[in-house]
Amino acid sequence: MDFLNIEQLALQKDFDALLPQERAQVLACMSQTEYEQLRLMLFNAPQLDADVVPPPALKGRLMAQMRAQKQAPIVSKRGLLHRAVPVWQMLLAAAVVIPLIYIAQGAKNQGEMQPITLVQTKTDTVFQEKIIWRDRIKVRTRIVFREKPNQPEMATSDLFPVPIAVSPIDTSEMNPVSKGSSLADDPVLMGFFTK
Amino acid sequence: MPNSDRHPDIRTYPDARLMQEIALHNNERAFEVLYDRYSARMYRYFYRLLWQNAAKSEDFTQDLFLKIIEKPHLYDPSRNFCTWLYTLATNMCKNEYRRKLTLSLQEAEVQEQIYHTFLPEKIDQQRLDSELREAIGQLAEPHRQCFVLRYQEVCSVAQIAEIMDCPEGTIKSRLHYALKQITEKVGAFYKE
Repeated sequence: MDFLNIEQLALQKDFDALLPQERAQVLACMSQTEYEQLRLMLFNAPQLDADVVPPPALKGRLMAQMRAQKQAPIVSKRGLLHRAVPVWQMLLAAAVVIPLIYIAQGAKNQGEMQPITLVQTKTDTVFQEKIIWRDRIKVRTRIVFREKPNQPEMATSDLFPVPIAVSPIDTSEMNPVSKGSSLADDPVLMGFFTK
Repeated sequence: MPNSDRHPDIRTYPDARLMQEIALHNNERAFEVLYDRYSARMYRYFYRLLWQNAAKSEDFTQDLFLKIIEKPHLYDPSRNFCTWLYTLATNMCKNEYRRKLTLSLQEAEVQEQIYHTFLPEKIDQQRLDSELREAIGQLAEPHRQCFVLRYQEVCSVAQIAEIMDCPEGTIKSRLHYALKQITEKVGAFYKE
């Protein structure tokens, strides 16, 4: 049995009025004398200073303070920043504050050394790599031989006063059929395409 | 039309409702009802904890109710008002204890002398009261507060735990120790 239960018993019953089971539980924690002392204390403690009352003047002072509080301007419990402000007051405040800030900053800057910015002109040479496509013009000279009959020509010259038969010349080797040019044959040109 | 005429039954309002009236409308009548309910109780509480000093008890009671007037928003409606009030009062006493550590022995001797000199026919009860008062005053601060709240202010263990911000087990332990100390001292008087 904890002391709170014993405390409840002591408030309700004298030691002699305890049931046998209750008496046994009490005696397990304390003696009969201690139980009686506890009863004495529990009955007298609440009566101690129970008749003291506050002076009547205290109520009068507090009610006066309450009335004064009621008449005072209402202060927003949320703080100054949450109060409603008319628009014209805001504009007026801005019209006053902004020039002041500007003047203050100007005055601050006057005392400072202003850096001078020098403009220096430089000429830079820019190299631009540009690929120019040019038409590759290949000039060929063709010798066109006209086929004539097999009649040999009689060539005459001062060296040969006797006419000499001139057979037609075989020009197949002199003017071979053009096969065209290949990139593989021209490595420089190839380089333009493969780089 | 004043509030008191529109709300004739304001005396039956619960404590939280009265605090709401004070916080939102600065209702004088609501404050008056609260003062009538709790002023005597809180004055006695201060009187018991502050070495039966009437002047100090009056000042502390005034400061406590001024807090209600000036800062009613401090009260959390989810809490029991009585417990909250006792918590404020207990914290005020703790601050006072820090400033003044021990009871003046000279004041106690003069008080006892008055009892013996002017009221001889009531000497037994008054001697018992004096012994009990001295025994309670000699307890350490947390034990004394627990004792006064439990056996003089009639608060439950759960309420005391909330007021003093301690676990219930700690409160029971302190009460047990305080009871033991006081019954030993009172027991010497009982044996006479």
